Amino acid sequence: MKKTIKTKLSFSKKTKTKIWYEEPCHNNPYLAKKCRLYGYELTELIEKKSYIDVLYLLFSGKLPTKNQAILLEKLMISCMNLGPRHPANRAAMTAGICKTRTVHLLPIGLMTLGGEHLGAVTVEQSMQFLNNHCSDDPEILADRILSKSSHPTIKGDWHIAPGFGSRFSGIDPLPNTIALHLSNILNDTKCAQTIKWGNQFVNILQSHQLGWLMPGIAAATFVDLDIAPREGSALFQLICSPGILAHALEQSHKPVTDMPFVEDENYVITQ
Amino acid sequence: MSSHNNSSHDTFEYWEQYRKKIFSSKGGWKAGQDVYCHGHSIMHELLGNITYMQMIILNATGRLVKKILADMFDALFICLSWPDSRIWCNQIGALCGSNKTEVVAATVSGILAADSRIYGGSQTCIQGMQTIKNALTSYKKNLSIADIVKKHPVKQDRPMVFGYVRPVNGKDERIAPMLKLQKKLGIEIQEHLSLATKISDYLTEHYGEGMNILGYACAFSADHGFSGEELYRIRATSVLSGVTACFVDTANKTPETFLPLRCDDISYEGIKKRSLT
Repeated sequence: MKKTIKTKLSFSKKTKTKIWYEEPCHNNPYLAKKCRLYGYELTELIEKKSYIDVLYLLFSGKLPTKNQAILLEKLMISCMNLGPRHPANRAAMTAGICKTRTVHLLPIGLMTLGGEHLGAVTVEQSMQFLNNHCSDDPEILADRILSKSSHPTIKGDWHIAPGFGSRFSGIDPLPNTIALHLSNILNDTKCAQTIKWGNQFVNILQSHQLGWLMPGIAAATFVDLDIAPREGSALFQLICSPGILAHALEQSHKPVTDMPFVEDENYVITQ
Repeated sequence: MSSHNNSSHDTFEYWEQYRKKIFSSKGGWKAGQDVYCHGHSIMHELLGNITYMQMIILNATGRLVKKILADMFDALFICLSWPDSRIWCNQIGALCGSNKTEVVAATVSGILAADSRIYGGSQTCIQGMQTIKNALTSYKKNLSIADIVKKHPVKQDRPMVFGYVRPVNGKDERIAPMLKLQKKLGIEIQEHLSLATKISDYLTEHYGEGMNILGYACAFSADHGFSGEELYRIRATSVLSGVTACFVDTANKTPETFLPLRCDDISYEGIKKRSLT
């Protein structure tokens, strides 16, 4: 029997949201006299809650516990500046030095940070990996993954699982140090369970010159904070933004000659 | 325990060879002399002899294609250059215009927005190309068109075949002119596009859904040896002109007159009013 021909999808008449309610002014419906975030009056949040509390509420719909707020704040400090060698910061710094419009600096850095290599995409993949495996024995899992994997034949870094691997052929000490700090800060609580699991996981990886990568740290923290993978990926971009901006703005005040320009003899055209 | 050990790993020596040095397999600039692109001299060979679309394809894929083939891609770009601000990427351009951003920010924002799983000319190329290549493999194994269609998930009573579903309207007005142009340029329909047309006829008969411009672009490109990734790279910016148009439209008007929303135009479906304790 011939099916009913349906040529149009059903589109909603209104945009819907569970996040934000705006109460219109009586004399002008385009203006809001009160706003509520997940039911809480904005003015009450301003008065009684921290930026971290409200940020967590915005992305999860819930106010954080004290330990959750501490963990999120510590992660935000950890990721605040990825440093002038990180590709995202470098992209924004290059834009700064070449006098790109100031308002484009952050978007340029964030687009670079959106990559699959050490970027926001990795955070989402890593969160999925951690969600799937954080109830497994980390040492057995690490050994199993290693036994099934082989070092890539193409030279470069080896990412054994999303968020875990080598950096410049070695273990990146900084994310590994941060992971220990985060787990120690909340040592007596269950709040950093996934980070602690990751620390056990990398114990096995270390002998292969593999360890935590920054997106893995962010991913594990977001899992511990009960944040969804897509939200975690986007939040990673948000929390890495200050460093991107600061480095880019610093360069924007300098002459274009203050950054190296690769000379002809070091530009090799291969065919 | 695994069989891996430290000796199998690189040292940082590997990275040293790239330090302060660029190795380009694409080409480069020889200051004051010339610029090279895949071994071609841009100043003495390409400039004046090839079209901009040939250059786009060369830079994206390393292939210097004939002008008539590039003309087809040119037409595919035109097919995505609608100045209609209801289309999502264009709407972003229009919002930027209404908010008085600069044209570059508006256009780039629109291009990013078209890098979508469900519409636009870029990311969808990967799935669209895979769809037609898989379909051809199945077809050569004597699967019927109906069986090929059945392999795809169904949503809202329609089979979701990449290249054959449009979010807004079933019939794609761009297919007939593209086929007409292809004929005019003397470019034969080959196996991918031939099968794509058969699938389109089947879907039109049973679901009122014909091939869309993505399906055409993927089948046509597959016939000419392009991969999905190559097509994605060629078409990365394909919506830019329409976005710019929609930006210009609103940039010249009073701010916020583009689809202004009243508070009650947003439907709040969340938690009722509550207080902090």
